[in-house]
Amino acid sequence: MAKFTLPINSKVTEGKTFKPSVEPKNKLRVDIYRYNPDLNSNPYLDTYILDKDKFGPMGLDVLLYIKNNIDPTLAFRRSCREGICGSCSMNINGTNTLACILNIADEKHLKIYPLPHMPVVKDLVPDMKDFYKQYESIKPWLINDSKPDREHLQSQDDRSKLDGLIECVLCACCSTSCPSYWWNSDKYLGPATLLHAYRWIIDSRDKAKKERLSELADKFKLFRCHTIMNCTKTCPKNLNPAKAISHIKQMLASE
Amino acid sequence: MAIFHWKLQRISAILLVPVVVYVTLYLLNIGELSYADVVDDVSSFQSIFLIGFMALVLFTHSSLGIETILEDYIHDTKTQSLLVNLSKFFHAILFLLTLISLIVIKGN
Repeated sequence: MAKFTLPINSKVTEGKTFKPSVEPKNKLRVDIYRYNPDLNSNPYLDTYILDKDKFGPMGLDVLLYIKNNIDPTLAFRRSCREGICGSCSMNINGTNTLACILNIADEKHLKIYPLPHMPVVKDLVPDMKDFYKQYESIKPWLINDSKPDREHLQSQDDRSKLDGLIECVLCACCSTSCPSYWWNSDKYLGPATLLHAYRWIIDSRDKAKKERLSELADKFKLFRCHTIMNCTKTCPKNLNPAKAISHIKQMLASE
Repeated sequence: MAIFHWKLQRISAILLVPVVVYVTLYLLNIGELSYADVVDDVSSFQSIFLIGFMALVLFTHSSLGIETILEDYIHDTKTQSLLVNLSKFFHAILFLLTLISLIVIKGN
């Protein structure tokens, strides 16, 4: 049975408040989910009162400022700081997004949590192991036995079919915003993986379209998608995984 | 099977659209009809065929929907299978009751 309530050790308690000695003029209150498995205690919510004039305008700037100047124990993933690597995905003010491309200049209060419904390794770092296993299961590589002298050629029209798909950075914002993925993340592949599956299905250079489609023709792997559209709404790269999933369903239905 | 389930759910949903519109309009005007008028409307051969067919579509759609919900939320396979089968049985009974009711109305 699906769990509708949080287990006791997931109840978030109140943490510490970090305040500057002088009240800042351009104040920003940031509540951050903290969890340390070594402490063997419940997660807690730390509050930081910050001066917005002291850091840049992006969500990641806030986290880096806190880590470098206030609390070095804060754990989060980050790398490219320009929306390319997908590392800093987290839930900010109720929406899954990439902290590095979220403009917080007009915000007065931020609530930052790890991606929902994922096991938490520490603070804002979710365990992505199962997500990557699912990605691996769709064979995200070119399957084509022919060996051309140089590269596999593709027309401009065929190449344009991949637009809106290859930009996905696998940040998992979409998958972890999907209620179907919350309830059945062990069996349902989720929007990110399915978007990538579609990317390979429609690639004119790939020769395993039939096999890829038949692999997905499963009531859990694909058909748990109920077109809720949270994936499309939350995607920080403005992609449309729901559309990709519906194209896969149409291809299967018309076979 | 998964594809068939998905197709059937969509086809039955599309078929139900005109029925919902017709039934809504009919019920909005039912106050102007006498009891005998309604019995006449329901017991004609075309009505029995149409209502019977639509009951089949409606209960198929409902059964598929409930099956999807059970698969979503009940993770224990034995309990899930039991509840899905119970739901199918319950919908089959509802369909049979609809047919019996139509026959009884026609007989009177």
